[in-house]
Amino acid sequence: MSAATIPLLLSIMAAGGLAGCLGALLGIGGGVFLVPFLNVVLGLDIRSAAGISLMTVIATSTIVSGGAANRHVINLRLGLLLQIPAIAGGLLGAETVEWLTPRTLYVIFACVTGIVALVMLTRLDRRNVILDDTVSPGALGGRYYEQESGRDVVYRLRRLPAALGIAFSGGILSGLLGIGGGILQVPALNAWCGVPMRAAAAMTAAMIGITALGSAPIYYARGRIAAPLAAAAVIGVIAGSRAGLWMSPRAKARWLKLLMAAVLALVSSAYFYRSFTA
Amino acid sequence: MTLGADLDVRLRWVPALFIALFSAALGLGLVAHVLRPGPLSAGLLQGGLVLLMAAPAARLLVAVLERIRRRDWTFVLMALVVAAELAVVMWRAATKN
Repeated sequence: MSAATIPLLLSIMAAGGLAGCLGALLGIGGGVFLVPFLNVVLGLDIRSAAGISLMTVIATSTIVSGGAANRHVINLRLGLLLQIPAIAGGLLGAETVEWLTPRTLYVIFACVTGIVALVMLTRLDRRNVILDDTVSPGALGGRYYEQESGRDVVYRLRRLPAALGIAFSGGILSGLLGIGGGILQVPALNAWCGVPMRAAAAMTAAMIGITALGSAPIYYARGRIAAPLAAAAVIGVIAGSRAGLWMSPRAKARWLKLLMAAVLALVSSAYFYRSFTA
Repeated sequence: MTLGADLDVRLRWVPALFIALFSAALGLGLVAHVLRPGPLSAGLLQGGLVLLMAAPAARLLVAVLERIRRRDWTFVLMALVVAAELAVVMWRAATKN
């Protein structure tokens, strides 16, 4: 028996399952839940936790992109455009993470999750959809059937430079913290760029696997990814992601935002505390 | 416009194949690691992780081939830029070994 004991592997698998479910449901990859578990609860170095988390982000994204549940909502053209700055950010994050102290990474984690939670809470009722389905969505907008209103809805992308900047920042976060970038991209696209929450979540969930490729190979080459722990997390995530995909079309956008804000506030508090005690 | 619908139907076998392959490799590798850690378990686990990382790139590649067929050159150009970035990432990773 190696250091990766059965109880340890099972606990990581269970945490991966929960992270995968929430990640697929909210479009944020699940890393924001898994990294604190591996780092704070199990005591892994935050960079090793980030490396494992990146693997689960890729797994979640691969499953979501192959699933049928949100296929009609995924805006592939916008998603791919945003990958250009996101991958550059991911590479930058992965190259700089070794220079930063764990305490700095804790503070970044706490600030990002806290700010995103606040943004989510202030935009709870913002829907961004145009109910007149004869309106053109433009080159980068979208059109899909919305169960909540029972009809086709349209949205248009606003502030393209802001969307590109958000994707770049999300990529840096992905490379630094292993959290996939969706944590920033989903609420920011919803709040500032006119993309409805469901569309932003589905598109981001399908694309963050590519964002994670901007940094995962570098973590892998550095030996930051413990293969047995990553395997346990990925297997848990595969099961959890399928549950999240099943729940996604049935969940109300307002409750998705509230759930996301609550979890992010909790994670932020944990990392602020950790940054003071580290 | 939302372009994912029919394209994702065509491409569903790609992520499904990769999910099956990396799940099998990681699952078997994990069992082998728990029962008897060694070269076999290490090989399965490392192979599973490499397959996992290859999955999004493979999906992107098939999407590009499909868009070439449709003559959607804007999409193809964006995908080529993404592919070039990923090549830089692989090069940076290779130099860290």
